[in-house]
Amino acid sequence: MMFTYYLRKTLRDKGYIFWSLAFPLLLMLCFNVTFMGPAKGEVDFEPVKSSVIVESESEFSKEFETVLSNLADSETVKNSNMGYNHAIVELLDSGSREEAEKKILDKDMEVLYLVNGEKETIEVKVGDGANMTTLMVARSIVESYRRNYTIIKDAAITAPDKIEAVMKSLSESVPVMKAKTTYLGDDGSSANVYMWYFYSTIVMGMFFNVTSGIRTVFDIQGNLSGAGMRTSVSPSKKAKILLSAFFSRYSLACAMTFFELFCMNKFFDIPVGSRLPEIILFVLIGNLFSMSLGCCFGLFTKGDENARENKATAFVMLSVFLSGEMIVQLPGLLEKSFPILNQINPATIMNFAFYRLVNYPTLTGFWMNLLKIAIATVVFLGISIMKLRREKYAAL
Amino acid sequence: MSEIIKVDGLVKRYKELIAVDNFSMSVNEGEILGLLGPNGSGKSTTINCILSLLEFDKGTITIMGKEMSPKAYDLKSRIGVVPQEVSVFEELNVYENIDFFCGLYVSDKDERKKLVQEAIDFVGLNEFTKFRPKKLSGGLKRRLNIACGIAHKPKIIFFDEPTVAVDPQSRNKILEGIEELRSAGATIIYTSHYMEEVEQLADRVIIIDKGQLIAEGTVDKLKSMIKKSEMIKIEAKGISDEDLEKLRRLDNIFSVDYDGKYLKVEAGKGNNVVEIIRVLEEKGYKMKNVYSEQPTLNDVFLELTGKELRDD
Repeated sequence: MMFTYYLRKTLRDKGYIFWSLAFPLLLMLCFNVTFMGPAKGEVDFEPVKSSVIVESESEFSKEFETVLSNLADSETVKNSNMGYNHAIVELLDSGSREEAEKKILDKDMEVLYLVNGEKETIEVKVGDGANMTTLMVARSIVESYRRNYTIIKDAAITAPDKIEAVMKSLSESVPVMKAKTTYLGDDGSSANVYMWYFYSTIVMGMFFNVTSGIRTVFDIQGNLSGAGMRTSVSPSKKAKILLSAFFSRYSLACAMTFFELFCMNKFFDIPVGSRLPEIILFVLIGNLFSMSLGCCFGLFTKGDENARENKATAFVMLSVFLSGEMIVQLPGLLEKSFPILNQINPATIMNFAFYRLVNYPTLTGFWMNLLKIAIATVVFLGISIMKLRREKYAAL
Repeated sequence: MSEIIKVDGLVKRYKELIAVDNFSMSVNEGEILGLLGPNGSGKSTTINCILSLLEFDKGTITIMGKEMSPKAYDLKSRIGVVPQEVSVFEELNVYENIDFFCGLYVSDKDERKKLVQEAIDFVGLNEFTKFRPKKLSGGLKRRLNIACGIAHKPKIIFFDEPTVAVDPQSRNKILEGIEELRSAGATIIYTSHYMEEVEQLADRVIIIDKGQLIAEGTVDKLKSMIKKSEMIKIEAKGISDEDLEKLRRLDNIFSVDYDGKYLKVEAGKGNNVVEIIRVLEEKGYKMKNVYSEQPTLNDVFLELTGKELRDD
């Protein structure tokens, strides 16, 4: 009975449903229109003025130069399956590194690739005024090249007889692909910005459930609300009421996240991968984290219910903003200047977890990120339960 | 009548502030006990201690002979509470709210259905069962608040200022309802700072101030405890200071005020009106209207504490 009523109560809470369900879906729609174009086609762009400086030569650097040459050749690009009918880059002769950097500062050139063939690293230099497209193309080229080069190298060792077939298949997708822009991730990997916006929105939707945690606390705490007082003086056991209030909201929150993921995948063509058990775990832990965080906000901040919700929402917004929801380069910038923030910001951790879950061949990064959130959840839940167990209050 | 609630030596402190100071009281089965005191006097704190919502520093509280505690579920199931604030869920309609709060006490669905309907009938919300609280007027919300507290047919009901900010019509309906509940066998503890309500309803009254028991007894007994027994008001013009002084010297007269039109006299027990009129007639004053008012609980409170009961 209690579970049903709490569920019904939450379903009728228009503000909550808007922020946790409708708003993320609307935001995804906006991202879709903005980044995919009205007809879901590619956003066109001018070839990016680029140059390569090879600091030490190897097979790695030679292949990279070949890739860039292909991308600078409009016929090669047209004949590929990349979907563009013009060159992706315009290769410029930069001369020395200093001259190239000066050209970037003078805005005569947009991107400089510094390739170290021995170490197999590529450093990307862009000017202050580089736009999103430039950044996207540059990062995407490096990311695709690095990934594909590794695959080719592995294939050469493990299956040399199939190397030709592997290279043929990869040449169809090298590089740029359908991504719009990328930035360096926390471990030096790059994230596809287009997907990143969507994943960040999913995380935002989950994190808005902090308000659900606060409302759970207010519904059962006798010192916080009249309804809480009524439940506290009733003969119903508090643990039972708490579980009903919490899990009715939690199950709804999880259902909404699954629905958002479904919409994201079905209507906006954003991949969610095929690791269903891990996706389910991600959703369960993410929502449990936001609700337990909400419980702590409800129990330990001051003010009425609205004031506490506003504080929690402000925290969530900041966390989501720092994770790159609006400025996708932000986590990358933070990684360089203040890396600890990325390590402790729950939204960034969750974004990386999901990105890795979908895109990475191994799940180590995903599990590490999820573990961080799970530990925080256990801490928040533990603190909340200890406080919520109280049936008598020092003050009302 | 047997004692159903007993509070003995209750002390509740908020740091330096003593909210309830060695307070003792008892409630008899089937009575309406009025707990009267100004805002901040400790009425709600006392009730919350009795309900085991608030921790207290000293004292014992027993209900039906058993010590009250948060785990005393058998006692809690017999208690109903109507809080001061309208405490319902805005997202649920009238029926659902009553059903939810009744469900905290009664798990059987069929029984609950019957009880909820009876509560709706009792507070007269039949036409509004599908309404959400925000669509109800202030008075109807108060009735819903009451229905949520009494639907499970409790033996003891606490009403904590249930008529605050309620229109006179709804107030009368609420007061009538409380009397009906008592007639049906419930014991009622009614807190208010509206003395008229307490006078009208209560079999017995406890006056509380600064967390201390000031006086207790029936309304008549409390009134008899004070010296003043009536306030006489006479409309008369031109009374001289000399004659006012003569009135002051009469037996049983505590105070005499005159504003040029109305003469106000506070008097003790005795045949005061006749005496005063005799003096004024002797002096040839023409009198238009003569009023005599009995003392109120506010007068009792004023005489016992030196301040007004109602501070709003």
